[in-house]
Amino acid sequence: MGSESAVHQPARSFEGAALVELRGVVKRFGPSVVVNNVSFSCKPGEVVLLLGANGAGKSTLLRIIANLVRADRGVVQTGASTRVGYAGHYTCLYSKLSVRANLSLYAAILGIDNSGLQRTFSAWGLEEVQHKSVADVSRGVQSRASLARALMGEPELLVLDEPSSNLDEASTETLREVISMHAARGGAAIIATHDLARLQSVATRVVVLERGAVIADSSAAGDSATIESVVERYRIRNR
Amino acid sequence: MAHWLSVLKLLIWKEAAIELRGRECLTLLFCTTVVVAALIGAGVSSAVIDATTTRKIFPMLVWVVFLLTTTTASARASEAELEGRGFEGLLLAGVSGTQIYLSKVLVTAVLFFTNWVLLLMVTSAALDQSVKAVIGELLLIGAGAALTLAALIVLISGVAGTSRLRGVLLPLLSLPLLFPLFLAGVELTTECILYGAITPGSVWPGVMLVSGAAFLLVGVNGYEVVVRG
Repeated sequence: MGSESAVHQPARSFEGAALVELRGVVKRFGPSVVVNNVSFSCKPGEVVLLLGANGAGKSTLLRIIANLVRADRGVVQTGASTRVGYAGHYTCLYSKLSVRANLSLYAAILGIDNSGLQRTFSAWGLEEVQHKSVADVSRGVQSRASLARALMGEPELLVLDEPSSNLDEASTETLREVISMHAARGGAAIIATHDLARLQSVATRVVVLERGAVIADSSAAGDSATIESVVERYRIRNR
Repeated sequence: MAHWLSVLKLLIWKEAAIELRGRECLTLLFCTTVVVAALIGAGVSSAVIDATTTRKIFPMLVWVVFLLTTTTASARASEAELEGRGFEGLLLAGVSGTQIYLSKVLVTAVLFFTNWVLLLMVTSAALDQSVKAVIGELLLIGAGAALTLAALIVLISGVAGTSRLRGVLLPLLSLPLLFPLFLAGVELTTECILYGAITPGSVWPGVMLVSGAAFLLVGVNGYEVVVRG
């Protein structure tokens, strides 16, 4: 790699069958280094919780993984046929269109039939609000619709940024179930969150970011750390 | 290719649905056109300009109003895309930036063309000019201009939309680039109004065609880069 170049590429053959692999990824905004030499991979079946204080670089790292932001340096390699489902701070929905029109658009693009679309509506409790425009529904409903959109077509890799921040308990339970089922089917998820209390139960791995760099990884080779001990260290550090 | 075209059709439907739901661009275009044309009509009338001179300056006035109203309304061309970052969801679903761009250009061009038709009606009434004899040619010029203008405006609104200075950047970037279109438009409209047809061998249809093709080419290849920021 050149010193100031970055590559986001599908892998031709993948060692260890990781769905995404990052090597030495760096991202700067002006003079500040937001993501600092991050390397890690995510394999099928893994649910990675990405922890870190505000401004630690979680959202930028997720956007780099989803190929929505280009890294300044390093390699981001995704599986040859890996499709990414991303839900972040923006809903990626059109506020003037109804919830149904938005999700129908994605269903049509992804080749999902009407019964599949109906299942999505019922899974996320969107039947009653489907004809309302996105601008007219609550933030919680917008988040559910955004998650439904991200999960449409069963993408192999889920990249979720604070997915539970606007969700009530029932919707969070749906989210946990969906993530667990997704991982059981061989998919993977990378989730940035501050909501450990509600999402820790689905995690198979925890990665902690500080000032853009990975400072703890519960699956690091030679590290006997468990998810619980990494989370505990993170909590003490951020008190 | 069939899937590519069916996705493009879906995106065109989406663009049209967003516009029809709010009618913001249509309302802004039509209101500005009627008001500015009425003001120009009143100004020309109070300046006591004779009928021959009015007929000579009519094409220039039509084009000034057309470019003014379309650039005013065009700040909204990429707004829906950037507001909720809808384009990111589409890109992740496998839609290309080219498809997003073309769908926007086509719907925006239809809006601009509708505005051109209204503009001809209102301005010819306000300045007491008949355009019936050359309406076919004028509609053809309007169609070419609407497509050229839309190709540029959608691209520029993407650039401006990702900047904090979007309100300033859009006219600053687009107006100089629209100069060839303005010249071609005024010349072609003048030929129609004064001589009853586009002069055979006129270079201006070529100027309009080349600038439209250039804007389309840059937009098709660059829109995704532009909106990603």
